[in-house]
Amino acid sequence: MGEVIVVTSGKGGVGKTTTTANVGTGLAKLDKKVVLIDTDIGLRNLDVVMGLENRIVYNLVDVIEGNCKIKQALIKDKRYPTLYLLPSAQTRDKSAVKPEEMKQLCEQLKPEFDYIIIDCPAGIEQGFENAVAGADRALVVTTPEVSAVRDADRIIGLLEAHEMKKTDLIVNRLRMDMVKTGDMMSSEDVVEILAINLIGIVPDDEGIIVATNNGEPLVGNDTKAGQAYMNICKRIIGEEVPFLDLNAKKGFFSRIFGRK
Amino acid sequence: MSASVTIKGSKNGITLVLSETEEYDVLKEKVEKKFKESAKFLGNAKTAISFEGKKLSEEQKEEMIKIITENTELEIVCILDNSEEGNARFAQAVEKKINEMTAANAKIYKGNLRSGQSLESDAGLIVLGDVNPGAGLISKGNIIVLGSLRGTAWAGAGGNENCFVICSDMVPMQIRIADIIARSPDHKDKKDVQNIKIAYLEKGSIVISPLSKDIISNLVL
Repeated sequence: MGEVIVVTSGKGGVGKTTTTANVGTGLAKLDKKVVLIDTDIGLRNLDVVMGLENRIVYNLVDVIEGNCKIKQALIKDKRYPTLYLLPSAQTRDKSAVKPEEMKQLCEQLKPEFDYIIIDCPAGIEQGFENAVAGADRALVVTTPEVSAVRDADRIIGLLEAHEMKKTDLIVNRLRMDMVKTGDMMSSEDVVEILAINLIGIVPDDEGIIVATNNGEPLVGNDTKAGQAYMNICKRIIGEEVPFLDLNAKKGFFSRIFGRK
Repeated sequence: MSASVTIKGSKNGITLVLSETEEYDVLKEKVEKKFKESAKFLGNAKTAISFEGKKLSEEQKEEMIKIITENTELEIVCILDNSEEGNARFAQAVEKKINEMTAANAKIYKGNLRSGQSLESDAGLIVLGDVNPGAGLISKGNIIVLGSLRGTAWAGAGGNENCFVICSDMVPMQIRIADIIARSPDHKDKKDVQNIKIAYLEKGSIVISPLSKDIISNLVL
């Protein structure tokens, strides 16, 4: 039976879709069978980040309303044979789907896939309710800004109210140089407030913007962000992976005496 | 210009205001007339009555009630003592009872309160966990947080100024005690040592200080 993971944050623009794309692709790289579901009805963009926009024929709402079979709506990824995308509808809104229907959809997909990853829209309204309805665990994405952390806190509270079995935290777009000068919250600061398990720290990386624009998730390549996302994937499947040393490049002594 | 007889409605029934300068016999007639006029409006409720203005003897009060019941459908079930002194005594007794209750009881909550969540209690509140920004505690009694208080806390929400807030990590957005509100400074001092602190009311403003034996011995429960 597969596991349903919802990627959520409360605040917009912190990297839910990027995380969904990279974690999904990373799990597929680890030979897992994965389906990504975009529940941001009306503001669809996971397909763009995945570079699969041109393949969309049917979407989530079509599946829910019975206009097509699930299999017809699933788009097979162009790079990884075990990765699929169920895109969102662009012409409808959140009310087109009910939480109960999402739950049923997840149950139908569970036997077929190892991981079902749901990209949650920003906000705490119907879209959020839909996205979390069928989920077994949640990845809460936040950036090290008070506004994002505040919203993440609210979301974690709501997830607890939904009796989510497991909730992990991803701190996205961390800039070590700013943390060092005291201008940015560190991941420790964020964890202290949110008090949930930290499953990954993703450094701020220009490569993400390039990757998003090209529709090529950078998970697993040799950038720091790519490695960080791969580590998150490994932790999701239960491997113990030490956190990346985000300071590795910096410092004279560490270059001479640094790790082998 | 004030009428010598006025009927006032209140949540405790009706109040009959009588001019102190008028003779009792004149008042009697006026009361009779007034109630006859407003019988329809007053209806047939069971109500309590209180007297204001002219001091009446017990017999006179009885007579007044008789006039009212004869001329209206009202049923007067009791006479309320409306004097200031009586009210003050009553309020004091209620307050004392409430304070006793809130001091003696506390609701214990285990877990973190996150943004958007709040906890209310008619008694005291003890939280074993953090209270995050955007979360709130409201208690008619005292508040104790064994964790970080980063949100808002309102102790003595019923108006008890002896209430206090104790936390193991005091970094609140806002603290209220009774009707007094204190907010956090706009620029936080990050290096503040984390130790158990207490917020209490002193001379009308909220004071936060480390919890010392002196302070504990001065607390009123």
